[in-house]
Amino acid sequence: MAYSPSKLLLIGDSGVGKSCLLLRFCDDAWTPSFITTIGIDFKIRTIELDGKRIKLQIWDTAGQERFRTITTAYYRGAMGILLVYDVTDERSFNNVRTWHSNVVQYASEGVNKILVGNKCDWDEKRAISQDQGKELADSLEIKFIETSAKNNIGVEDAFFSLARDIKSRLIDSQSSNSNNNSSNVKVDANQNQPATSGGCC
Amino acid sequence: MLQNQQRKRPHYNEEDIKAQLSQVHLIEFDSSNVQDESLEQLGPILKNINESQQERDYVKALDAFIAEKDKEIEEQCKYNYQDFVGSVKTLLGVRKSTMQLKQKIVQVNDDMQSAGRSLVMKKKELLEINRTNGNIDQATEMMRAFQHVLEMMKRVDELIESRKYYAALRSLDDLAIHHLPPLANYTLGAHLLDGIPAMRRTVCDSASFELKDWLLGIRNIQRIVGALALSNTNERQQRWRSKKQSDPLLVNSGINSPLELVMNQDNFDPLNNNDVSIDFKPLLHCIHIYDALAARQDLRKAYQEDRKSQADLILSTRSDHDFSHSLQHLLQDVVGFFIVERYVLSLTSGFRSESNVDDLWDLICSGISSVVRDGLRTSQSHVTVKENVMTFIWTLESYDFDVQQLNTLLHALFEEYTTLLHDNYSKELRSVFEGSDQQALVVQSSEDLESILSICWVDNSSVSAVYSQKPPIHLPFSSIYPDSCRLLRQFIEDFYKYTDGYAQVDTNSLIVDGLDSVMRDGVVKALSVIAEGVFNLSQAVQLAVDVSYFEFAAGELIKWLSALFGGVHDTSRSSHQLNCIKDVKKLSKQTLTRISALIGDKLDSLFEMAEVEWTPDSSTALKSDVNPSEYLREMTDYLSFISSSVLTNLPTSLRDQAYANAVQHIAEGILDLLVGSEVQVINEKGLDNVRIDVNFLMTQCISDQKPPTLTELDQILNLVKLNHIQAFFDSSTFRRTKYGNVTPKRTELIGGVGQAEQKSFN
Repeated sequence: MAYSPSKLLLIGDSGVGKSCLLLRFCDDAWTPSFITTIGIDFKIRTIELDGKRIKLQIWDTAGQERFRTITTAYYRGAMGILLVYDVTDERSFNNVRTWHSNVVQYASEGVNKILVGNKCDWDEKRAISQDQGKELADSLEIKFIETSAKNNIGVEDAFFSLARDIKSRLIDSQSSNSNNNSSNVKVDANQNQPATSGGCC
Repeated sequence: MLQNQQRKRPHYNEEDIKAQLSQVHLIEFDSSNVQDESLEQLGPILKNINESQQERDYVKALDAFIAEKDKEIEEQCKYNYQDFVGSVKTLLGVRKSTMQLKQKIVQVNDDMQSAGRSLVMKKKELLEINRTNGNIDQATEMMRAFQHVLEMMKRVDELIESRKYYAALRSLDDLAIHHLPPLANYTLGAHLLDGIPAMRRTVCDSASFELKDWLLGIRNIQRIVGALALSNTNERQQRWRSKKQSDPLLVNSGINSPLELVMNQDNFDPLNNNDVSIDFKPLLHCIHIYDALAARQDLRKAYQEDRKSQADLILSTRSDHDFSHSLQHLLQDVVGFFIVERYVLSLTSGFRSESNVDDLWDLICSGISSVVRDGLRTSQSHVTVKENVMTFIWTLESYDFDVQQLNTLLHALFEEYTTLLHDNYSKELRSVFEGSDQQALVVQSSEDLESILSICWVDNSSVSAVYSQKPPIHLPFSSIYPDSCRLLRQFIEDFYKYTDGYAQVDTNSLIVDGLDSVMRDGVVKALSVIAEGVFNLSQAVQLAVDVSYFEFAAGELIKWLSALFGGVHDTSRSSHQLNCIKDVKKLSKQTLTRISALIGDKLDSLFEMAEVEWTPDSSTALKSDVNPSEYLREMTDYLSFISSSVLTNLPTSLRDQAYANAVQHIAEGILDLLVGSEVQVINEKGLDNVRIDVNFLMTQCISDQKPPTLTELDQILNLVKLNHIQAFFDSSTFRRTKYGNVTPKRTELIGGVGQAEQKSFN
């Protein structure tokens, strides 16, 4: 039985904290220095969801415009996408719609999405209220969460929530249509098999 | 006679008797008191008469004689008695007058006596007055002499007061030799004479006091003298430097060289100029005075001691200013001090001992050495200190002082400075690296770009793409490169600045050595540590890119140095290479290893996600006939992605190597999967799938860069596919010719695979 990991993608403006969210989620670490992601990077974390072990392969994309052509190529394989903005940076919030339209344009149909407002710990610099974020998410018909990679607020929730959505979508679609090929990668929810256990006979 | 006659002729005649009688008579008449005498004379006569028994005759003769005589008298008295009475009467009158006269004469004599007595008294008085008069004259004379002496003494005092010590001494000599000895019998004279040595001492003391005053003045002015002399040397040095630049023939001659001394037109005298004019007369006067007193030795000794204590004072004085400032004052004092010494030496032949001055000089030199060393322990002002000391040396060298000790100090300072510079710049470089985030530098304007590129050593072709960018401009290197270039330029500049003036040192090779060690310790070592701590691929790549720029810089630095030194240096220097290039290359390898390791980690995590069907059935295997496994596709996609993004700034050779290493890593991973303990059974289809994967991977290789493990994998698959396992084990020749890349270590595993395959076929 084919087993494929769950692929997630982080997108958003440069500097909103995508790499930091990834670092927090996968390595439970945080660094104050801002290191621009060049092109693309990924990390892997295995999570347990409703008793099932799922390997999440999370791709971190460069926010900078000059890497856009490279990063959009990764949209297609993604099963879940985190649209990240910075609550202290109005511009990054305004750009969410652009990012969203990129998702619509390049990603697979039905891909799960979540709007993430990062740096929610930084109250004195906050430019976008939680309500504004919620409003935007509602208008885009996606979930919304505020996080702080620095203080580890909402990070687990964001990823778990997205993973759960993907799981339920794929299980639902699998149960309705076993030959579902909408995505060339899928979580094999029936077989609780870690990848390292190798093949079967 | 009578006697004689009587003896011879006992008979006297008449005449005889008569003669004898007259004689007796006469005797009677002569005087009564001589009767005895007459009698005595009569005695012998009578005796003779008696003896001759003529007494009768004699008495008869005697009677006759008397009778005659009486007759005569009668005769006489019969006549002229009247006259006689008159005469007697006259005589009596005369006698009376005589008596009166005598009385008168006595009277007169008495009168005369009394009159003479007052005269004598007056005479006596006169004599007394005369004598007093003489005494007064004599006293006046003496007083005059004393007055003269005292006036001279007063004049001496005045002379001392008006500082004419020599004249005072002359006057004192005059007094002592000519004027006072005649007066020595007088208490005052003796006193004055006794006082002469004291007065001489006073003169001496006054002169000494004035000398002390003068020396104090010298001490106060010596700093200005020193400052003037030092600044004059500075000007000379600058003039000489510009002369050297314009005339290459002079390049090898330093300041104070014969050429420079000849060409130097300026005869600046720091002791006598617009600002300072020192009068050495007080010293000469004092020497003159002491010479006059034959006491030159005393003065020499006193002067020597004074100068010694002044030298000690110079060394012990510390101002509150910072070190380089207080050193400057010290050096100015010393220069002034010794310029005065040198001048005094030449001015006063033999007064100042040359060896004594040299001793002081040695003392000061060691003093300065220790002051400088102590000071530099806490101060960072090496360059200023060196410049000051150097100017100091040049200045006093031109006054013929032996500067060997100070040159030794300078050399020691050079070494210390080299170490200090090395340590400081290594530290600064390290802090540049530690503060960096290993990200490409972004500048916001083309001006910023220009200013950065102007300090960096860059290969023009490597930055040509930068110029086409619009701001913000992304540079290939991170901020550490321009920061380091700036520091390295500064380092060379500092070094060069410091070496300026060191004539006998091969400064260029010292700079090359210094640069080399800074590159090694400051750049390579520090970056090597950072490289080990980098866990982000993009940072590791940035580091490798930066290192490649450092490699370029290491080559350029030598060229830059020879350009800095100008054309005067031999061309062999330019062929000199920085040894650190080797280290930079090693570092470059290290960063590549790091990059490969980080890519390897990512690939490993993709391997972990990999799902390989080792025993697919024929129906599901169809898809894999043309397409490689999903995980492999993902890996090669990732590789090509990072090649065109993260790795894109790497130099081609490094990028290719990183790519080749990654392919090698994948091949190793596939081999591990294939021969790993987890795979128990594999069927032919499964093996075919691996073959497809391997073939696909081979197409992904850069030409001529096929990793060894991939070749091995290829051969292993052939070995199993063609069932050459038995032959492989049996014939070593077969092994070598057809499966040369298959490591014997894996033979057992291959056997295992073969068996599994066989088993699956069964």
